[in-house]
Amino acid sequence: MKFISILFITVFIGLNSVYAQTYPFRTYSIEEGLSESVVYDIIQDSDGFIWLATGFGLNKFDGYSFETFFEDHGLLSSQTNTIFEASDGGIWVGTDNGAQVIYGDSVHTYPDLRGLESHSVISIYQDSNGEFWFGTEGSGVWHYFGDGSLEVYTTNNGLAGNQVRAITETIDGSLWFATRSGVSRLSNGNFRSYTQANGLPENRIRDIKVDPIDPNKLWVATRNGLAHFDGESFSAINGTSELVDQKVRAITFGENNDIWLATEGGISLYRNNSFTNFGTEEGLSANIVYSAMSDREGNIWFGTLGGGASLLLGQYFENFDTESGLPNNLVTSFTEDANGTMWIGSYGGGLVSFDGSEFEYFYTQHGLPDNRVYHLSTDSKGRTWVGMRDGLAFIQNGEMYEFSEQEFPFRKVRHVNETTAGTYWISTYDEGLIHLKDDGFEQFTSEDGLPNNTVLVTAEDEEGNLWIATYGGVAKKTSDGFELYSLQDGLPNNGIMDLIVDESGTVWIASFGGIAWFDGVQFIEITDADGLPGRVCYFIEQDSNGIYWVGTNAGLARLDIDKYYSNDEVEQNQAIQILQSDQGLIANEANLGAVYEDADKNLWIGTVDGVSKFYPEEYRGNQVPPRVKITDFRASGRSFQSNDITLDYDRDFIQIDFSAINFTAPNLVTYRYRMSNIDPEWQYTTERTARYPSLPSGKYTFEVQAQNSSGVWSFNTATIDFSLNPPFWFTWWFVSIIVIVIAGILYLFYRNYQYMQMVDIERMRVRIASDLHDDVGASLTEVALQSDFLQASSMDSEFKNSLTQIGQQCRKIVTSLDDIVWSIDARNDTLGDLTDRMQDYILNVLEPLNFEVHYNFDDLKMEEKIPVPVKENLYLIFKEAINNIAKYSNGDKVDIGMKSNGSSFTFVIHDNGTTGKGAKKTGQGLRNMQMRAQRMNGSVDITQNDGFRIELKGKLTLN
Amino acid sequence: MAIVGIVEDNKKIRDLIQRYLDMQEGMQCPVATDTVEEMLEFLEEHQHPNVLLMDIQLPGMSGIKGMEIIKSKYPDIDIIMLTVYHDSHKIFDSLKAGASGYLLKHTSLPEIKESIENLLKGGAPMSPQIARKVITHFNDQAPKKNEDSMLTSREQDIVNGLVDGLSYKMIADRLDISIDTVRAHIRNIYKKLHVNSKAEVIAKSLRGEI
Repeated sequence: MKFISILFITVFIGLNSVYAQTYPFRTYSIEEGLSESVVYDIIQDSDGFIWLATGFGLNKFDGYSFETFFEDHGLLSSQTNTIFEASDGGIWVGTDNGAQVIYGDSVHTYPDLRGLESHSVISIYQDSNGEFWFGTEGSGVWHYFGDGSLEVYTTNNGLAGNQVRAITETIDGSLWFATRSGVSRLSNGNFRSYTQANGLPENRIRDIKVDPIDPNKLWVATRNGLAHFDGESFSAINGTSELVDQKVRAITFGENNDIWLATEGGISLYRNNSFTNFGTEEGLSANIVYSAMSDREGNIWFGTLGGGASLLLGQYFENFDTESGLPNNLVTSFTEDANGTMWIGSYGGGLVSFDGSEFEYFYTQHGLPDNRVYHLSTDSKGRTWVGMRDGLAFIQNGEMYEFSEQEFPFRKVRHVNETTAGTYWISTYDEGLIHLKDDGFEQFTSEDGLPNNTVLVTAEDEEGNLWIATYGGVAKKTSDGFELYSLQDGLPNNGIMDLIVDESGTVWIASFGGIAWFDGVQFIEITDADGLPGRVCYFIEQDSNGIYWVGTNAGLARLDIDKYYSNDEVEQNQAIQILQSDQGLIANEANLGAVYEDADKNLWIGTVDGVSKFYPEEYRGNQVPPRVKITDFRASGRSFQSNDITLDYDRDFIQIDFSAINFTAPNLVTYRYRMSNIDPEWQYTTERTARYPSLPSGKYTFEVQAQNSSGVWSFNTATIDFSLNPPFWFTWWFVSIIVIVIAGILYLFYRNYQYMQMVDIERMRVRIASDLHDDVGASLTEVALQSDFLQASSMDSEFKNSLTQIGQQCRKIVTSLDDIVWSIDARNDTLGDLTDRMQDYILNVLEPLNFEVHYNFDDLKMEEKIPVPVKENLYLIFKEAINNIAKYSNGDKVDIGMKSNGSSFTFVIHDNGTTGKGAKKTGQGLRNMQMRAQRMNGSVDITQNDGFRIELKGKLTLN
Repeated sequence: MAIVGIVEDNKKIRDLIQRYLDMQEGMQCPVATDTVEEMLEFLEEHQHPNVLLMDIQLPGMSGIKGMEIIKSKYPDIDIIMLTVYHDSHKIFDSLKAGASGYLLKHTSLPEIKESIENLLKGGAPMSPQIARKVITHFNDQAPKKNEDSMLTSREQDIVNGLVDGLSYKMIADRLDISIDTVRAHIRNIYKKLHVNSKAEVIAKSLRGEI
């Protein structure tokens, strides 16, 4: 026998370490999408969104991602100092250049508040009258009345100081201002100030908050600690323990009368007249803390300098790892010895004892046979058993007994189980089950009927039967041998890692494929498909409240078996609650069998990355129901906003995004949705999108609900209605219209075949002319403008002349084209149109030559129609005549007249120019006129009598 | 400084006019767009031009529709219609829609510039055929219109003069008023034309015709 005095060793070698555990803080900073790491203020709005004011930008957070607002979005300054939600839901933000309000996603600037824009706004408050107060950095407090006027109060009006850092209101209607020179109270129109002389510990006040229980009372953050106003007077709060730092920046209230203080040296929890302190060592992201806010789920948010926002999820976990003093993070086992000392075993780090404040280490150099510890347990004799990779030992009365090779020739000891008879069942990896008695041992292996030689754990049931967990299934030792249970008996997997007999005598196992319990005949499994966070279950433990705890490869599960088998759906949903690293667990991957309930009923959980100590009393779960919202509705890629949407038949790929705000465990929110007529039942998902690739036409209602990690369903159901139109070729009206149209076309075609032909010719004429005009005309116009443009630059006059001519020529062609198009265009077919056009032409051609033109159209019926060929030829003859006059006439008067009797007309142009000179040259022009007159079945008569006279006669009808 | 905008879908023509006007003293042409839609976008965000040159046949919204929208949103902008066709129907429609004048596209650049200057000085061109249509328009409306939207007797005189083919100068001589006064009257007539057209639209919609 080899005894080693453990007391002796610890006196000499025990390396003591003052422990520092970490708490479940979650950090949101630049890496997570926050715009800057300095957070001056945090609020939660009535929709549940978290708003964070940073030194560069305002952030809106939904648990998944940040929406940011900068000057680009209309902010007066990206330096934001304070945020306040008004009673109408507007989010007010105080910046270095005044205050603004955000509705929805748009920033509004009030012209009324322009006066504030040259000041830095550091606090905002809406009083019980609905009026706003803006505290500034050095310019007093500004009062914004409902009617639009803005008034400022400074020390001149009795305010204690001009730096107003916080504003609040007590139930009596008094407004309270926290300034750098004391607290000011405004009641009945008068300021009254309170300073050190009135009991405050310091005059530099940082924050002031109304007590949530007694709205007459106040809590005040000063540069020298916390102070309280009891309705009558101020007094400093001196707890039984020290505040982490006297420079208190912000106050917020937690559950159970907790008061959380943000200071320049960490955070302090004031509870039962004492302070509990937290700093970076406990997991806070930075020690200088500017702001604090408790959300609806009971989490406390802290805004830090340089560390973004730190979210404290509660104090139900305390975590230890090598940084806190553990020798090794791979923690395998726990036990409390006969003296109540906690022992922690790790694979590679030996043993460590923990008295609640200090660690004492015990390694091979102190006499431990092996640092690779698998198992720790304490028996009824006060022995603490240590199962190691390289053997077995126990500690009793401060001395260690190591089993020799002869006494116990086995390695890899996974479990030691004391029987009621006082013997021990030792589970070994590879060497089967060993029955250790005072007088020796007995080995059971597969040769004796064990399913597998890797035995992890044993447990005795109420009838004294031994249940054995192996990598080949479960074995029950009976008097005749072993009864075996494997997959066909309901086990989720044959690799069993843990086995317990619970309070009621039921056998439970944890395996590589889930957990299961034995109903007397077979095993009933509960796996990840039933809600466990992971498939591989390393341990199962029942605590003294009857709750089962399952350590998996993906977090810890809390199983309430009564709720699990309840008929009530709400209870079923709450049966399995998941705790992961997001909720403060030190790591998601547990170790085999590494769970222990201590005498104080707290749970110790060993993981691959350290130890989590769980306080069931502090854990209330996540009782706040999430609020689910539909965030986007897309049909074939396009977003639709309203609630009642009608879609075309081809927009049949529907995607609906939804989300629920839950900060405790945003990634553990479960959604269920259903589409009327499509989904017969609720569809469950953890994704935030539902997709329907090709919906048939019809009316739909989509509903979605959300469930948080504690199984609490949202009160509300978010819904969206929409309808998908049938393709038009499926509608009865379309078919009827098609039939009618086809019939109509056939009928018309039959009736108007000839007429159509005529119309076609006419149309084609117009189209050719129009196209010519459009294409050629546009090009010519370009040339003309180009020449104008060139003329604008300096160049020699000859060149300029040519350019001018090019331009003029181009315009002339365009004008001619225009005339042709006009004359054959059937729309300009009244006498009025014709005479208008003529007058226009004269205005352009003869007016500049100072001709006096008299018209005699009085007898004409202007609305009378004129056939296109007649119009065309008449107009062109007229043009020819006018051009002749413009070119050759030496007169100064022109008479133009037209008469019509309804079927035939006479048209006369007569100028007073003397004959002779130009007559010859007009020969070609006159022949043209003759030709045109013939084309319209008319005649032209040209005389030179008192000037040049052209008389044209024709018919107003075609034939 | 007169600011001019252009809506014209022929890129070469548009660029030439823009470059030319930009070169002129006292004129600036910061915007020339393809479509009415683009111009409307521009107007939302920038200083308004004093004058817009606008084509009628445009891709997307027609120039006439565009004029109505621009005039209703920005009544201060004068719009000159820029057209290929010497087509009195279209011209008159655009005048009713709010144009203050029209130019043919092949009008020379110096003339375009001059027309803009005249318009800003208060002048607005009106040809006899347009004048004829003005008279018909107001006569048709006469029985159901209030006095504000009727032509005054002096305006009637001027339109009649235009129908007779008289130049502004001759009308001024005939009525013994200055040319500027003639211009001012014509401008007023245009305005009434716009008002009438709007009223007409409302009346038609009340009767269920549109």
